[in-house]
Amino acid sequence: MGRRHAGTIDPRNNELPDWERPGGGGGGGGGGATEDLRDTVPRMGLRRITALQYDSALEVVLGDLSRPARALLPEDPRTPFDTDYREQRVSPGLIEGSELLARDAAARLLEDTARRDTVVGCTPTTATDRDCMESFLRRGGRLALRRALTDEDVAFFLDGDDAFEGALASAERFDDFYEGVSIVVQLLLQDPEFLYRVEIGTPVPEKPGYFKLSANEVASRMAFFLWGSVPSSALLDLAEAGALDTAAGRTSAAMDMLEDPRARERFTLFHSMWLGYEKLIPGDELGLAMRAETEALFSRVLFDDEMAWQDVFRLEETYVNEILAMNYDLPVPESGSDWVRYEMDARRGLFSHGTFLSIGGKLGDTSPVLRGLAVQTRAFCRTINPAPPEVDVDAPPESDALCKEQRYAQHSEGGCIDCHAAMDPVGFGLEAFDQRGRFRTHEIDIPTTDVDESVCEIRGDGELVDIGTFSGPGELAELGLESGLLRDCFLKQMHRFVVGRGELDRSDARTIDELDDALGEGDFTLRQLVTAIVSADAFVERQEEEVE
Amino acid sequence: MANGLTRRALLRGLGATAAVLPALELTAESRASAQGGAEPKRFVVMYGGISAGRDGSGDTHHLLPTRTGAGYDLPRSMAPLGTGAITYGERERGYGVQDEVSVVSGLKIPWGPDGAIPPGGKSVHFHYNTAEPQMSGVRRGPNRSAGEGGTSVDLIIADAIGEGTIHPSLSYRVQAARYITGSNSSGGGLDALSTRRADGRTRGIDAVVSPRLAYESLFSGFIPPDDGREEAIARMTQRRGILSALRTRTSSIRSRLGRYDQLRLEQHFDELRGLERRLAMVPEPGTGACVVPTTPGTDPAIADGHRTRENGNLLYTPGVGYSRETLRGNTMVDLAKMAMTCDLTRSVAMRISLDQTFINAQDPVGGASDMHEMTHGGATPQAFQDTLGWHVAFFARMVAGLRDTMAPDGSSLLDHTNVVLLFEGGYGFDPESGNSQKAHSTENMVMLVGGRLGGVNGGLHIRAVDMHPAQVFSSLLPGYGLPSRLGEMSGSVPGLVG
Repeated sequence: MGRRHAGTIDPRNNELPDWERPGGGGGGGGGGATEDLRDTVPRMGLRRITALQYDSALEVVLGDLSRPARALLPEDPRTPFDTDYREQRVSPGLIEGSELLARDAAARLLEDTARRDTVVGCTPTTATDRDCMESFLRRGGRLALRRALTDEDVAFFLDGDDAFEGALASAERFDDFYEGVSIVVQLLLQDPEFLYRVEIGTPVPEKPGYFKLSANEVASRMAFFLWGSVPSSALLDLAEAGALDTAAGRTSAAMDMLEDPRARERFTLFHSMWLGYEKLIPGDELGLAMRAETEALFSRVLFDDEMAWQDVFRLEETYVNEILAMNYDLPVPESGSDWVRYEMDARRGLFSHGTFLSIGGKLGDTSPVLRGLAVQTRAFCRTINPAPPEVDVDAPPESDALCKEQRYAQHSEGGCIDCHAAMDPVGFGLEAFDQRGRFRTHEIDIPTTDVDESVCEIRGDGELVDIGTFSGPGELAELGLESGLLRDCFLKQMHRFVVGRGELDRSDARTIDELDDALGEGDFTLRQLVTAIVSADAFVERQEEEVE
Repeated sequence: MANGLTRRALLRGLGATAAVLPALELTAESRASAQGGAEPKRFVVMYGGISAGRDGSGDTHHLLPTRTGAGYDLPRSMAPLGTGAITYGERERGYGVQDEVSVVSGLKIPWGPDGAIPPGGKSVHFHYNTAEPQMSGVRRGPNRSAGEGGTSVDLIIADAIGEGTIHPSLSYRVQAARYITGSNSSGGGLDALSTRRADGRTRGIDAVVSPRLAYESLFSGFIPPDDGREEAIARMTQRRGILSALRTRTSSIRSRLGRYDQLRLEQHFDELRGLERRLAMVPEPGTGACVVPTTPGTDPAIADGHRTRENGNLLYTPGVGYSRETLRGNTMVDLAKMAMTCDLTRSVAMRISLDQTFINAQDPVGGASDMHEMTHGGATPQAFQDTLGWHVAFFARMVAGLRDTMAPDGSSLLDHTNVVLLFEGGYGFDPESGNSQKAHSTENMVMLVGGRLGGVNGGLHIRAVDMHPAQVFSSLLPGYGLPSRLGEMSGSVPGLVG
């Protein structure tokens, strides 16, 4: 990588300062005996479960498939992930929404007697059948709170205290065992150990501020990481048997967890939030086909064929149905939906999908600037300075030129070049593919102008400054892979995803560095990635988050 | 037996509850009586995340009467204030509240470069930085740093007049979802209309978006006077008991946490206590105009985000980008009005639409565009005017509802209330582009002020050229016993009060 693009892109290729970069100065790189503990263990605070996680947990704990949380919980901010605890707020809306969700869930459970009986797991002999209530509480509570309830917990839930009458007294008062069940459900679903991920660990006396997570907390962390949900009973069994205490045990459990369909959903969601197309995909039949295409890519590369993660960006086949095949001008599969081979070198992997290419539209067409910005900042984690105040980012380039490349030429003059040199050439390298991922050779005719732009030929040549030239999404991905930009950014974003924090510091850089080292040179599979993450000490440790 | 409640069971349990609840039941009259018999003061602020004008020299300000003073004319965008026909919302004609509403125009939020933003001002760019200067009178930069922001006017007033109410303030949002994602739309407090400055930080208050949750929060605690009273008391006892238990559980966990997490759970604990306290202040309905409204039922489904056309533009399909916000908004207005009627709250902040709102205008007003795109030329000028009018209609509904509701002393609730509607932008010079006649402008902003509290004059169009929107609020604050100052702004709009 030759010259730097001064003043435009952070010269370190991503937003971490030098001392935060893997192998950078400041913290040392090898983990010597004198190294500062704070350089090695990421900070972590209480994380409230997201609306998506709430819904998933409801399914695990109560078999409730209604997915009601989005309507009643405050929206989860995305930075870019929905798990950033530093962005989460406590509000009356959160408390009242949680209360209503819990009351509704309890009511739905009691109405559905078949599900109720399954969830409760025993048949009460009286309204105040303590044994039955306790067995239900211990089983449901373990799933909801991600740990075995203590006898003290059970006594409190069932018998209450001065201000809370307890589930059994409520059942007695209403002469109905299931009134007590309702109380238990409402309590569990509002319990702070349900709503928050209380993965706090045990203080290590000789290391102030350092905490080692308990086995159940490790299980919780693994479940939210790999499933976006609470741990299963089987995973908790493993934790309580000590099987997650070792790196090998965690790895073994994680490999099993990857067999669960929720893992596929989780990594598909991760990529959509990382790259920014989570909610941009058109919602019609074509949009559904695009979603299916991208989900199939992740399923095949990461799970079914266990290919390298890098193959997500370079697979030469894609999964299409008739609508999508026609959209891309690819052969229509005989079976209706199937994998077909791309018929041009420019297409390869995720960057060729309509999901990804839906990013960056403006003024009725693709925007080379917005696409370039998205690729640089999202996919490559590079920083591009915001537009200066005098620039109207909503206005089209002020130019009388007919063709887009000429209209955007003004960006290569004066102060504009500092930023646009990093964006426009990337966007122009994708110009031959419209927002639905279709190949095109000429610009579209913009209906609001009195000239015909469709006579303008699209060259589709692009450049990643300091890295190389490319044409089309396939070559862009290859540049990103060869340069290490994609890998570095992916690892950093994966770390954010795991720790639930957008802001990174020295300790995060060290952890990312260690992950990078663990994966070694070259390609890696999802299993290798997950192994490296869950087997690391950083996965089972934490520093206390600092008060501002 | 799952949902039933026998007399025997109730008798078994009522010993404990009956001793507690009656002493905690409060009525609107009893609270008013506790305050010396005066009818409580109330405040409502509503906000539209849209500008008053559209880009272009051929287009003009669309929220501006041509005549000033009394008897101002109603532009199409203000039709809901009048009695003429309207084609959106639930009514065929306006609410007839023009005499109760004054229009204040010509307002301006000043701007400046980062690091040199003037008092009450904003940074040069547009979107997501105009609500706070208006609502708090405090300058707002491109990123809310520790040194920026202030407490919003609804919370300032709530602090002054809300004591003793079950909900010191309400914060609602009508727009159910953003309907599009982008770099400037990821939440993080940008959507909050109510803000609280404390401990060197400004924090947004999450608004309630679900009408059903709003209803449950306000009215599920009512104890009916006769049929079902005993069961309602028993249910209320249950809820309060659960909340008490949760506080106990929260406390036990908190002691195991570090300081950062402790602060987090302390907030959680405080909010639990707040809800418990609200449930303990069980009001009795049926006093005068205070009645438990009909439940709004299940919320309308939250719609998907916009699809794109083949050319990449947004495709405005009916049912997409629109979650029946007209119904949601009307429900929230009616619930908030009843909450004030029953004196459950005295301060309401309602964000009708998010900044840069991408609500699909096709369903609510028939415009083939999203509402934000209309400010940049999408759809027709008439559709844009109706989009503004769609916002104004919620305000008019609130004003009319309060006007038509009698307080126990026979006066109108509007006599004791100020209702204000403000918008994200005005029309004029855009410092970001250097161009005039732009929607991305904080010149020529407009606010609508209804209600008579503090001697506010209705039925006027007042030009307040280059005055700050926060000065409209500072004009009203003396009516609440507060100094005429909001954040960094002070003074009154001539002619608005007195």
